[in-house]
Amino acid sequence: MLRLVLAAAVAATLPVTTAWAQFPTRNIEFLIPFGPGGGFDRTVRLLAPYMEQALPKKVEVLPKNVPGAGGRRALATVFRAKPDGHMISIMNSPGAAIPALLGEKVEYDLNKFTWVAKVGAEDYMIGVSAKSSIRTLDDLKKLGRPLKIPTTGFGSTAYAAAAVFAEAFGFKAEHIPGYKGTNDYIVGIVRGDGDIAVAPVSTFKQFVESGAIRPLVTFEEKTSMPGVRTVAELGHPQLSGLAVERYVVAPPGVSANVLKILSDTIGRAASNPELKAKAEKSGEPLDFIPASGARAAFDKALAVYEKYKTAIARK
Amino acid sequence: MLESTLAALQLLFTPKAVMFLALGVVIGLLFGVMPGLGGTTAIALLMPLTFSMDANHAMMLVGGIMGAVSAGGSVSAILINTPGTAPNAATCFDGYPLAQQGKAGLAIGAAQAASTVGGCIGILTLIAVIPVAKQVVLLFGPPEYFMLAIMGLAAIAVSTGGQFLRGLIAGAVGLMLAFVGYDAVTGDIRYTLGSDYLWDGIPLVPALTGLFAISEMIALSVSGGTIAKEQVTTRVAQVWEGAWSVFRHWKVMVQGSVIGTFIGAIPGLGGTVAAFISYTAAMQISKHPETFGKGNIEGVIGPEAANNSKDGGALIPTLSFGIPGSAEMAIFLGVLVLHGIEPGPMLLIKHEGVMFSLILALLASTVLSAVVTLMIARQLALITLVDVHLLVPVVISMALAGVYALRETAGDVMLAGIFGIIGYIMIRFRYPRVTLVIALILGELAERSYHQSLNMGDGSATIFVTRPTSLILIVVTVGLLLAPVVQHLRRSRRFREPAT
Repeated sequence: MLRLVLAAAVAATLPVTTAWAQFPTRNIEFLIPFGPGGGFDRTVRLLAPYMEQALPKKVEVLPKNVPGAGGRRALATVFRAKPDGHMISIMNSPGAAIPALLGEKVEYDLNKFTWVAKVGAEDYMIGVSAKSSIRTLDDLKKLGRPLKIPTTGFGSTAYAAAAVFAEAFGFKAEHIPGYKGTNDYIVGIVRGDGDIAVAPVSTFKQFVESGAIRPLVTFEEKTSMPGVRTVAELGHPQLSGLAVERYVVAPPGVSANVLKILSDTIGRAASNPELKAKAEKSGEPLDFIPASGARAAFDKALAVYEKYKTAIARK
Repeated sequence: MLESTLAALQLLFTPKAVMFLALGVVIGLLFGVMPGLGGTTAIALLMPLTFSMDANHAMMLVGGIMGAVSAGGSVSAILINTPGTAPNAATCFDGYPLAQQGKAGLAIGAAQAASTVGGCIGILTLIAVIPVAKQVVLLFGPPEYFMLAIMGLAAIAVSTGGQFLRGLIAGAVGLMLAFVGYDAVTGDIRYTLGSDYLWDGIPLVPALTGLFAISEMIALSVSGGTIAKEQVTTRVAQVWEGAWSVFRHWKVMVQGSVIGTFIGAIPGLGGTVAAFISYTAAMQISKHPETFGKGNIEGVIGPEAANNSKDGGALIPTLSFGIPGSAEMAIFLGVLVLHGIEPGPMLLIKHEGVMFSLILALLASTVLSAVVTLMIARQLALITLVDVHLLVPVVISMALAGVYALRETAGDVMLAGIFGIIGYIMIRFRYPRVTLVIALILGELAERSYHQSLNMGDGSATIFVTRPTSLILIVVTVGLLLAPVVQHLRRSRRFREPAT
């Protein structure tokens, strides 16, 4: 009788221990919600080989582009996948949350995802054409008319950031969506299509260097460009750190052990000095927060957008 | 600038660089010849492999692919009436009848020569424009894009090939299909039938593959027999005769190259629109437009020149501002970024050498791919002797496999099948597919640019006439539309005079 109980006890623990000991049992698919070539694509492709080195067992980490529906297709795919840790995805914040803010129905629930890690962020900045006479926010106010702000579309993070900026600083905004990409609308204000552009600092850098763009205000905590004021300095510290953030998520229900392995693997990869150097060089510096802190970081960033929800939804 | 050109030239002649270039050419030709696959797929698949390469070698590979793809695609268009890539679709219209008349070699020779010269003209234009590229890009904003889209749509009116009403109906259907999906301007989601699949609109590559490749296979299996109805004469002489014909018909060739370069430079348009408009333009300047569609060599020269020169044009916004001029360029930018090269206004200043490697690779590839294709033209033409019942299943499976490889979505394959059936119905009832395609591609650009312009102009349409470039385009469009009317009036007047 005792032997039976003992055997049953061992049998009961066996699946758990073997599952944990076995992860990963096959290649891991790392989904990218956008086409090849963008910042998210780069980050995943840089991480993948270093993740392979850091995993407890030898499997491949396969980056897979699943573009479509503004990133929703990949997230829907990973949301529905088996929660065994073999499919994860990189995620754009606040991009993934904006449809919900705008009242649209999506096929995933951000609250139910398993949050694996935060891997990076790119702070936003506001720029104007170097040919314009605008040098301060007061100059913008003196225009006496709504600001024309070109973006890629109403679902984009740049649009949301622009709406937040306008609302917080008391500007009326006329959005001009429909540009095909960040470079496209930055060139748009150089051309004179609009007044200001909101984009990541790293994307603006080249345009500032070439003399086409004059930086106006930055959302960074500490300005990286001399002479450019931060939003905190201009009286709105709550907007500090407004950025495009990158998180890694997994399907709902991943076991704690598998989650720890994934999170630690990414952390070890991210702290690899070779990878760090490569990431800096390609303009995507890594900024790792493990699973324990990832969800909190996301909520904190989202809170700002939540606060200005009506401005964003107003279109 | 001269030193970096010389440095890039020196690099071009190292064995490793030549190897990568040759590899790119071969891959480009293979991906080009197979319907459903294309340059975008090839570069996307190879991108991770370039990770460990030197940036210049990566450019050799990518340039090799880009220059060779439509050369390969023209072969399928001519031999089996199935465009290897969408920009080769217009080549089918006269290339295939030539193959049916046993003149496949002639057509292939002409296509290759046109591709090479067109590609060279495109690249030379790029090099000439580079110093003022930024200013050129800045001249064209949403109002100008709208006018260009209208101009392209106006081309539909003249490209109906004698079936005016049917052409317009097909064009209208194309416009309707263009509006499916999420609209970036209003945030509306249109006709997606509740699923996310059509969220980005009707995916072009599966739709065009179905419309041209699959429909032709259906038509072919219905008619039976072999493709070449007459004796296949692909003696070497014929192939070279075809190549030389390009210089005899130099006006069509130059016109096609200019059109291709210009349209390639407009982000959102690509080789398909360039080739179709070039075909239409060739018809317009011809003294015998009624021979088009029956095996007029100019119907091969025009589009093939355009679909290669577009690469040079597409690099203008890509290199000057990092705005991709076409889908291939978008992937190409990804390759650059992978190598730590940030696309943007500093690209040409900071990475001159690498960019010239690309330009030289592209130039070399247009020549190399033509040479390779011409060498095996005779053997390739023998495909026209294969019984269609063997050919059709092979081509359909390759095409569908290629479509699937693009996004690994079963929906794409089904869409290709549906458009295949639609295309076949259009063939049977003699509705031109050209107009549907032009409208499908241009509809999105037209609508988006229109709303962008209105937003820019505070809701007033006067913005289209207050911007000088836009105004010029309006005048040109009106001129293009009136030209056939004026021609007609002049001709009828000439007939009346001798009577008096």
